[in-house]
Amino acid sequence: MTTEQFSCADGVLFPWKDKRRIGVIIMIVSRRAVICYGSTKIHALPKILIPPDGRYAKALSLSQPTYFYARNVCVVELSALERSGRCPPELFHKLKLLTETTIAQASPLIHEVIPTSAQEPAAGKLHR
Amino acid sequence: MIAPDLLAAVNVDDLAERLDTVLEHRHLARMLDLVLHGMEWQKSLPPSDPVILRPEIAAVLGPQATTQLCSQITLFLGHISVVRQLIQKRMEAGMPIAALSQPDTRSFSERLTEDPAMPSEVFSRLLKAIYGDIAFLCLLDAARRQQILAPWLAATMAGYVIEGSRAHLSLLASMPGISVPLELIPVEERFDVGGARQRTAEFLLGAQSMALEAERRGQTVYFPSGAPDDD
Repeated sequence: MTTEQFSCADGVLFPWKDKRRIGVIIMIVSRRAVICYGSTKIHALPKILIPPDGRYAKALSLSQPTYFYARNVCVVELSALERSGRCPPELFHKLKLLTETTIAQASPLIHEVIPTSAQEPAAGKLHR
Repeated sequence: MIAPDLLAAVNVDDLAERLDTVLEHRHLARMLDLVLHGMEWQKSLPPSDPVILRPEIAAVLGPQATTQLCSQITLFLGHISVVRQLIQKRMEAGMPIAALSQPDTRSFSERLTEDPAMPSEVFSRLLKAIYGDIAFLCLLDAARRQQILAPWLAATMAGYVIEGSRAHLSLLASMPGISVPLELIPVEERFDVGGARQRTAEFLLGAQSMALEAERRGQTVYFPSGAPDDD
């Protein structure tokens, strides 16, 4: 699912008040992106810490310790985004898991299984 | 080109960073597709012995990592058996080789992240399986070039191969219609496909609801849980 120049797992900057915040696109819906955004402040809440000297910080262009919280989800128009990096799949998976419940709670209650495109696995992996 | 670069890693973190980069390569994903679903597989099933345990691989891995792999022979044999079973079924049903009829030009990273309907249980297992495939190809390349690996690198690569096989088997074991012995993948390592789809559906609806609300409010940036005031 690619919209304009943005894709899921892109690291992005978006404007908020007088500064630009960093985030990772979790999903794109039409002209908007659902984003898990980072914070430099620490709270006693479910979170993922990205230390500034590791590969994740490098991939997302983070220069200081950054916390991604389960509740820190926002929706931003694609036209307001600036690409800042690419989130490795391993971290993207962790961020999606972290925010899954927050995002799902925005949905109307559903009580039936809705068919999705998922998921028949590839026919054969390498035979080792 | 890719394998020598990965095998030039100087430590585990460096290797992980190089793997992140490789997952973004579109040509690698396409190449692996063709290896996985290549023409030869239309004519014959994969060998029934684990290639990973052949002497030329052991020669580049060294004794410790080779022992690590040999201890998992039941896993590898089981993996091969299940994959053969799956391919046999597809061949008998005359199912087309998707990679050849409908080429996917995306990178592995794009394939994993751009499908919002992919349940997290599938995502995590596919990612490990891809790591395993890449590690396996690296070991084949090292054997071809007779590059003896440092013990830490050999152990890490062997670990990726083992985890990849286990993750792929776990994925297959969770799918209806595919038989995987409980001795190989116990119940607790399988996941409930129906439950995973339900959670994914709720996630998708939630994301759509958030986006609709942002549009209704006409806000460029919308915080469903309240605007941040911390920094």
